Amino acid sequence: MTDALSLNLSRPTALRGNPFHGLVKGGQLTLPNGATMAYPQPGGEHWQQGSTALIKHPNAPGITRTPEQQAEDAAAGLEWWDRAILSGSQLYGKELPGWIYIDPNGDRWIVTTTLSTAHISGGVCTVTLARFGVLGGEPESYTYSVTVPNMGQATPAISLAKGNRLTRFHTSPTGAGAVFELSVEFQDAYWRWWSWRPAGWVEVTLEGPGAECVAEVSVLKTRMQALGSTSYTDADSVPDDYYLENLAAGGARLVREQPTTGNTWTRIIGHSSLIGVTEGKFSGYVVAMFYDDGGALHELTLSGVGTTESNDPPYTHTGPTEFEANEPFTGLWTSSRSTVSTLTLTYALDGVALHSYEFSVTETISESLEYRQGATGGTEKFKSVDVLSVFTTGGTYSLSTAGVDPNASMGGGFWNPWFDFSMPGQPGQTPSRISQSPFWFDQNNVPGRLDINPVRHSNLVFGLLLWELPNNDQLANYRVIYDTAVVTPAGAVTLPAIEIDQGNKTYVFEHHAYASHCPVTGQTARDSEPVCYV
Amino acid sequence: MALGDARRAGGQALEQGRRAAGRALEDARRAGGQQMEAARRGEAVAEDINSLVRPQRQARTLPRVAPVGPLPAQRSSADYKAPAATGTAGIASPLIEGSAGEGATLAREYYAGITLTSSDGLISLDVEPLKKLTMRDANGEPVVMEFAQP
Repeated sequence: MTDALSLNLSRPTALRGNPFHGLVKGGQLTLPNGATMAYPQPGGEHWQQGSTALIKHPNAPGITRTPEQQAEDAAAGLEWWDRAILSGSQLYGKELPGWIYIDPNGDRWIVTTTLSTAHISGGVCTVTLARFGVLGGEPESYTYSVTVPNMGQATPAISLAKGNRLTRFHTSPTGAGAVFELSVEFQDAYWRWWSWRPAGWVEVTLEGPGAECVAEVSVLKTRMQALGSTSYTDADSVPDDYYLENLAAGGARLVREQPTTGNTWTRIIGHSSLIGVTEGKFSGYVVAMFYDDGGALHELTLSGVGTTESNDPPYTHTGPTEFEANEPFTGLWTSSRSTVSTLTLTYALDGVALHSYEFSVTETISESLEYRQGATGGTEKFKSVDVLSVFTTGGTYSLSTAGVDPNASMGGGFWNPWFDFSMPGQPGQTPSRISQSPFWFDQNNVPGRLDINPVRHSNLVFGLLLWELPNNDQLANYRVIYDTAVVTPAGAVTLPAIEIDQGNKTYVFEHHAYASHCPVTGQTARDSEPVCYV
Repeated sequence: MALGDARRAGGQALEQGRRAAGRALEDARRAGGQQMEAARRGEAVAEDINSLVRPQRQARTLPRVAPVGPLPAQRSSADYKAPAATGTAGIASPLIEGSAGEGATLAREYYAGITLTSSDGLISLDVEPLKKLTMRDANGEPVVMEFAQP
């Protein structure tokens, strides 16, 4: 209790709190009236710099403003909220060592914990509550020992991953729940667009008054549960081979199966006809867990489907099937085939799709191979091929050639960006294969690769980037294009695309795009430099 | 009569003369007669001499003053003394908190505490509104201020 006379003689009114809200960028907060003011920029890793969590005291009084005061507030760019935002690790522009817990009495506590990967196989951690938000009075804190269960990280092994860590990811509005991400690291420079990828989720819950709190640690997702599942659906192919069997009596004949007569033979055409769809996919990779305004926990998953629809019928053969001794072997095989391969990456909230990114390559090939009598006698091979490949996103590629080629053969795709085949074959491969890097042609018809990478802008904003890697020595630098669509707890949002020069063409990812979602207004912003709502 | 006596006698006469301006001549003659009588008895000789000599300063001890500083709280009582029924009684400045004792002492009463809370509920300040403040004036008379509950 304070007994300051000046305060006591004054008519008590509400402490108004913090009226400065908006987007912080470059250390400047832009208020609703467009005015700017200096404001600390939240720090941390690139995704943490835009991360936010709602803080909502159940008994927050708010403020009733008269119309005149409202007009003054609007003119000054002030907003008096009955809630607050944990921006990065900041509240009111000050770094907090933990998160805020509002107990059933309405008392506020800063919560810190020793929970870490040291407890990955179970153990005991501490959770400390230190009184927060009371002006004056004695410091008050309580430390509880909490049993940590085994986090279920033993299996499966995750391909290409190195270390692991446990990071606080989001907190509920009252702080009664805090979800932690158990992640594994992909250390190479070309993986920096998402270095630490989830492999498990753990929750700390608090219940009761700060002085008599019951804290618990529970495993929300083991590694196996976090990684989701994988599957592959094949399609039956049909052999479509041609063999030239040398007959014992002289001469030869063309047969469709490998001879078993003991005669010598030559495979003239090797082909497997395929008409059908093959599909590889990963499903339900839990990339985020966060709370809604009511404190309920939700999960954001990423799934990928690679589908290749093949229309590769048996070749057409024209020509004799039997040859006299010393008769030149001749024949014409033609193929008209097409393949459409599609990659779909989908973010879903609690199983309901929010947005899908789609890419496809359509390849049409007309090909022929003719065994014919050459000008100098004997048989020569004459091949012609017409290829058209359409990359979406990207450009097109076309090729038309014809000529004698003693090594010519038929069949196959030209660029082979078959997404079904590049999907992870098992859950342990999913974190490293959420990205795809097919052969690709850019709009200028320059071949190269296109990295298609889902990204975590912040704990509540996820999107996708395209990292163009053309084989062009004349190119200044590689560039990354961030797709217009992002997903947030409020659903899919369309933002302006952002192009970022990586400053190199060495396949080293250096520069991110930053985004933040405001849990109060529902706004989402993205920029080439750190941004965060406060 | 010594010269000094004469001068003194003359001076006194002049002084008395000035102060007795307007008095009757009889008074003046009587005063002069008293002076002459005193002079004859020799009573004014020492005074007259001292008036010509600079008197020496006499060293004197300053009165003891109670040391200033915190005093232990003490309880005291006094009989009620009704203010003078003049109808013009007032408060003598300064007002000092506390009903008695040396210096100011806390003499406040509060209403039940209230909590001021920020609009978002995260920051709070506990406050006890002032209910009563007792002071005393320079005469030691109590002055009590009572406040409404906000």
